[in-house]
Amino acid sequence: MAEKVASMQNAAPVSPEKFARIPQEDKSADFMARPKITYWSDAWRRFKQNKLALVSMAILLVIVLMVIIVPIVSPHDFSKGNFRNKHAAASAEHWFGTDQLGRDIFTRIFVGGRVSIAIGLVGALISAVVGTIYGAISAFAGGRVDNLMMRIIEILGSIPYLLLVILIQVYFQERSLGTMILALTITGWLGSARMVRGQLLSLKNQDFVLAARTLGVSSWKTITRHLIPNTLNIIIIQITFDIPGYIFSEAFLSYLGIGIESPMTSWGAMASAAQQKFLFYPMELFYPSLMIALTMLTFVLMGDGLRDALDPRLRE
Amino acid sequence: MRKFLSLAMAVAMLLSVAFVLPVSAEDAETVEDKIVWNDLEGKDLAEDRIAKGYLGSEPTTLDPQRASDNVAISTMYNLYEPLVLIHDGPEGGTEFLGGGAASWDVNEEGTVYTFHLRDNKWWDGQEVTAEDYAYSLRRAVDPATGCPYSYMLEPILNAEEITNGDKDVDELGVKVIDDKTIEITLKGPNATFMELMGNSVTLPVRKDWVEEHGEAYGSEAEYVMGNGPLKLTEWTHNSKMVMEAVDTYWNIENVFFTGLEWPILTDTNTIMTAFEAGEIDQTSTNLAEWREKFEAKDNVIHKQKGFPTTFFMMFNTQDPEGIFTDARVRLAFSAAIDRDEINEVMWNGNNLPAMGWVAPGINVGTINYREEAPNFVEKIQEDYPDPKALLDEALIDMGKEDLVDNLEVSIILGNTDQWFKDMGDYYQQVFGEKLGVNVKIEQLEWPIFSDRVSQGDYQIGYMAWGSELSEPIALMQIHANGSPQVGTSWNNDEYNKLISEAQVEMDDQKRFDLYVQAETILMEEAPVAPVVHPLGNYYLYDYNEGGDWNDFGNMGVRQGYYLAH
Amino acid sequence: MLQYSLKRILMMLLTLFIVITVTFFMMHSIPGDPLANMAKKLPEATLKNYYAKYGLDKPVPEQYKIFMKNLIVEGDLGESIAYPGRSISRTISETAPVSAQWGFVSLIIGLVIGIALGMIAALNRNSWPDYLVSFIAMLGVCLPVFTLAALLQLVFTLKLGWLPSSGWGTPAHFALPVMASALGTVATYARYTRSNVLEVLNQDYILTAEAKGVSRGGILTKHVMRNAMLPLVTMLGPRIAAIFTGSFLLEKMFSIPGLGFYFYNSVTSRDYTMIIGTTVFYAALFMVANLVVDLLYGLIDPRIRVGKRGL
Repeated sequence: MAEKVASMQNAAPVSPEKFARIPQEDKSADFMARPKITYWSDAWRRFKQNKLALVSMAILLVIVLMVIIVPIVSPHDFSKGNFRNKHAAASAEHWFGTDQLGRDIFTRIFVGGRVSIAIGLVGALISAVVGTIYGAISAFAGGRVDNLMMRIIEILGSIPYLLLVILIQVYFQERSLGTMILALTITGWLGSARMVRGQLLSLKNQDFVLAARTLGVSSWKTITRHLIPNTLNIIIIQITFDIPGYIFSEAFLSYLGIGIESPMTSWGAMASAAQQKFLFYPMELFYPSLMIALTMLTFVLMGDGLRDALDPRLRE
Repeated sequence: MRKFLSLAMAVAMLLSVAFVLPVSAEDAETVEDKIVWNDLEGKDLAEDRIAKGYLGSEPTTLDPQRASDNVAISTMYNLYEPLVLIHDGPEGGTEFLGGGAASWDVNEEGTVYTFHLRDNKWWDGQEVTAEDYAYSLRRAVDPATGCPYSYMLEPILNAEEITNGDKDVDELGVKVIDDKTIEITLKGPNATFMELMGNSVTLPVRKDWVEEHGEAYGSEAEYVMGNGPLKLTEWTHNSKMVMEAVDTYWNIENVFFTGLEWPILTDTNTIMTAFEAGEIDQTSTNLAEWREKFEAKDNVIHKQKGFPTTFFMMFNTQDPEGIFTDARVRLAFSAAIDRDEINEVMWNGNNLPAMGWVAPGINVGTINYREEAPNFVEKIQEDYPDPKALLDEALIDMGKEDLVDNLEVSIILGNTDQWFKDMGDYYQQVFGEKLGVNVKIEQLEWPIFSDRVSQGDYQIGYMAWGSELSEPIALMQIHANGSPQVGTSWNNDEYNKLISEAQVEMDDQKRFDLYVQAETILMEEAPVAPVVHPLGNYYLYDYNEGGDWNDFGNMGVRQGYYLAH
Repeated sequence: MLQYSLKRILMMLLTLFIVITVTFFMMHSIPGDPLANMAKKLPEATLKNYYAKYGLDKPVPEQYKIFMKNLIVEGDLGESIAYPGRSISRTISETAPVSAQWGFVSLIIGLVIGIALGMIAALNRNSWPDYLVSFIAMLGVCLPVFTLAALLQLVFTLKLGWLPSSGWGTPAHFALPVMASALGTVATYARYTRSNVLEVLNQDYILTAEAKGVSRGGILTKHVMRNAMLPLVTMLGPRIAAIFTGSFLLEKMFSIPGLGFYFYNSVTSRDYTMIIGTTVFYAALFMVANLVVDLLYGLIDPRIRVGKRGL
C-alpha cells in the first residue's frame, strides 16, 4: 500500500479525463459473500451438526413409520386373540409373543403407539402453545391482568382432575382419542404457562430487553426476537417432559380403567395391563415401557440438540 | 342380598378368616357352659398368638347398623357378639351355636322367638343386657339411622312399616322380657330367621356410646364399644387395624389368639409379596401364575371354596333400541357364550360354569338345590346349536332384516379395572365371531353403571349377585315383580306367583319343586344369562389351622389357631 | 409487600369460593350418588331414609346453600358419606401430615440429587457424566410408578428381605415409597438444572466473575445457582402442595395412611363432602404455594416485581 501511495505522488498532475463515470446500476458492492443467515436457519444449520440429535430424529421417524405401517401389513388382527395361546413367548409367528387374551403383542405395540404418540405429541404441543401464549400474556400485561390470569390457573388447577375427566367422558359418552386428549390437556397446560410466565418475568427486566425498548423495537418484535428465544430452552424441556408425561397420564387413567376405550389400546394401557403379572411375564411390560422410553429418549436428545441450536449465545 | 361383587370384592369378602371344627349340637343347648370350639389338647401350638390376616379394603365403618361393605362386616364379627353364631354343621349345611344367646325357644307357629342371653360383658366391664340387643334392632329399622340393610329385618313384625315411616319405632316386634330375655315376634313363619339373627345388621351396640358419639360412632378406634372377643385398639385408616383379646368375653378360654394385627392391603402385587414374605398368614388368588407358585411351596396349603354367587349377563327387556325385547335375541346371546371357554380364558378354569340361575351351595332345607335341579344352561346350548340362526330369525320376525349381520349392540360393565377390560374385549370378539354383531364395550364406574341400569339406558349389562341366605329365595326373589333390583324390567306373572308360593311353603320338597318351576320360566325367558359361579382359591401357611369355610359364617377369628412353626 | 400480601389473601378467598362452587355443581352433575356405590338397588324406603339423612333429597342449589352456610358460619366441612361418621377435617388433619412426611423426605432427596446431577451434567456437557445423567433421567420418567414400586418390593422385600413390603410407622417403611417417588423428582430436576446452568454459564456476568478471579465454587454457588433456580422454584410450588395430598398409587401399594386415597376414592364413590373437603384443602395449599413462589421470585431475582404492569 505504501508503495502505491509513493508511486501516485510521483505521477503527473491529475487530469479530468482520468475520471470515469461508474454506472449507478452496478450494485456489486453490496454483494455479500455469504448468504444472510436468519436466526432460524442458523439454528437448523447447527442442529444438523449434532449427530446425536440427528440419530434420534431418525429413530423417531422409524418409530412413526412403523406405527403407521405395521398395523396395516401385520397378518394379525390386533383386537382378536387366540384364547388357547395366552401369554405365549416370542416366536416366529408372534415376534413379541402374545398377551393375556392371546393377541399379538407386536401388532398391538404399534397400534397402541398410534394412540400414545398422538396423545404425547398433541398434548405436549397444545400445552406448549397454549402455555406459552398464556404465560407470555400474563407476564407482559402484568398488574391486574396477570393477577386475574394466575387466579384462573389456580381455579383450573384446584378442581379435582378426576372429576373433570369423568365429566368429559360422561358428556361425550365415549373415551375416544379425541376425548382423551381433551381430558388430558384441559389442565395439562397450566404448568407450562406458569413456567413461561416465571421465566419472562425475570427476562423482561433484563438489560437487553431494556436496550431493545430504548432503541424503539416494537413490543411484538421484542417478544418474538428477544424473549421467546430466551425461554425456548425451558419450553423445550417442558415439551420433552410433557410427551412421556401425557403418555403416563393416559396410562394412569388406564390403570384406573378410564383410559382409551377398547378395542383401541395404548402403550400406557398395555403397561398397566401387564403390570398385574409382570413378575411372570416381564416382557409384556418391557415392550411398551421400552417404546415409551425410546420415544422419550429421542425427544430428550432432539430437545438438547434443539436447545443448543436455538441458544443465540452458543452461536459460532 | 349382597351388593355387586367385583372380583376384588369377592376376594375381600373371604377375608373373614372364619375357622371352625365341628361341635356337637348339644353344646349349643347347654346354658352358661363354655363352648370348646377347638380341641387343642396335645397340639403343638405356636408361641406367637397374634393373628396375621389382612383386610382387602378399608372398612366403611364399624357401626353394625351403618356398615355396608363385606370387609367391615367380617371385621365386626370379631368385635361384637351376635345372638347366634353360625358355622358348618358336622354333616354339612349350617349349624347355629349360642353366641350372645345361650339358648332360644320358638312357639308352635314359628312366629315368636325367645332368646335367653348368657352372661357376657362389654369391653368396659358393663353387663350385656337384652335391652342392648333390642336397642340395636330398633336402631336398624329406624328411618333416622339410614341403615343400608334395614330391609333385611323385614321378617320382624312391623319392621317394614317402620322403615317406610308408617309406624313408630316402638311398635317393632321386639320385646325385652327381663335383663337376660328378649322376645322377637315375626309377621309370619320364616325359614331363614335364625340366620338373620347371626347377620351383622343385628349386632349389638351400646346406647350410651351411640348417643355420646352420635354420627362418629364406629368411625374411629376410640368410638367403638363391643362385646366380642377382640377389642379394637388401633385403626389407622387405609393402613392397619390392631385388636386385643378381651378377658371378660364369655368364652375367652377357648379363643386362641391374644390379638390381631392386620394390614389393609388393596394392591394385588403387594398382597402376594406380603404373603410370600410371611407377613400375612393367608391369601387368595385366582391368577394361574401365582397359584402355581404357591402350590409348589411345601408349607402352603391350598383350599378351594365356592360362593353362593352367580356372575351373569343381563339384558334390558325394555331395550329402547327394541332388540332385546325379544326373548329369542336374549337366548341367542346366552347360547353364544361358551361357559367352559370363558371360564378358561378369564378365570383360568377356576370357576364353575353356570348350570342355572341359582348358585351351588344353596339348599332347600336338606335338599342341595343345584345337584337336584336340571342343568338349564346345557339345555339352552343343546336346543340352539346355532345361536346366529336364532338371532337372525328373531330379527326377521321383528321386521329388522336390515340388521342381520349388521347389528350393533352395547355392553356396559360396572367396573373399570383391567380384568373387566379384558372381559369386555373377550365378549367383543366372541359375539362378533359367533353372532356377527358389532359390540361396543362401555366400561363405566359403578355409580354411573348403576344409574344407567336403573334408567333403563342400556342393552346388555354384567353383574354378580350373591346370596346372603342359604335358601334359593334370596337369588330368586330379585327377578320377581318387575325385578326392580336387577333392572332387567322383566316381569312374569307366573314367576311372581311361584315365588310368593315358595316363600310361605314350609315343606322342603314342595318348595324345591316351586323353585325349579320358577327357574325354568326364568331360563326360557332369559332376562339374564348366568355365566359362572365363582370359586375362590385360598393359600394358607400350614401352621394356620382350623377352617370354618361356611358361606354364611360369622365366627371371625374365634376358632383360629396357629401350630408351632 | 404487606398490602400486596393482604390483597392476595383476599383474592385467595374469592378464588377458593369459585373453586368450591364450580366443584360442587360439577360433582352433582355427574351420574351416580354415594349410595349407588354402597349397595345394590335398595328398597325405596331405605333409599329415601338414606337420602334424607344426608340432605341429598333436596335440590342441588338448596344443598349448596346449606353446605356454604355450614362452611362459612361454622367452618365445618362436614362428615364423609362413604365412610359414615368420619369427620372430613379430622381425616385431612390426620392423613395430610402422613403424606407430607414421606413426600417431604422424597422431595428433599429428589431435589438434592436432581440438582447435583444436573450441575454435574451441565459442567461436563456432552461427555459421559452428562449421558449418564440423561439416562437416569430417562429411567425415572419412563418407568410407570406402579411398576417401579412393584420392582422395589420384589428386590427389597422378597429377594433381599431387608424392608417390609408395606405399612407405616417405622423409618423402614419410608424407604420403598421414597425411593419409588424420588426417582421422578431426580429426573425432572436434573434436566431442568442442566439446561438452566448451561444457559447461565454462557451469560456475560459469569465471564466477568471469572475475569475478576472468582473461584469456580464461588461462581457456581453465588452466580450460577441463584440464576438457575427460577424455573426450579416455579415447579416447586405445585410440588409442595402436592406432597400434602399424597400419591394415590404409591399410598395404595404401600398401605400408607395418607390423603392420596381420599382424593381418588371420594370421586369414584361420589363422597360429596369428601370431594369438597379435599378440594378446598388442595386449593388453599396450591394458592399459598403460588403466593410463596411469587414472593420468592423477588428474592431470587430482585429485577422481578410481580404485579408490575407492562414491559
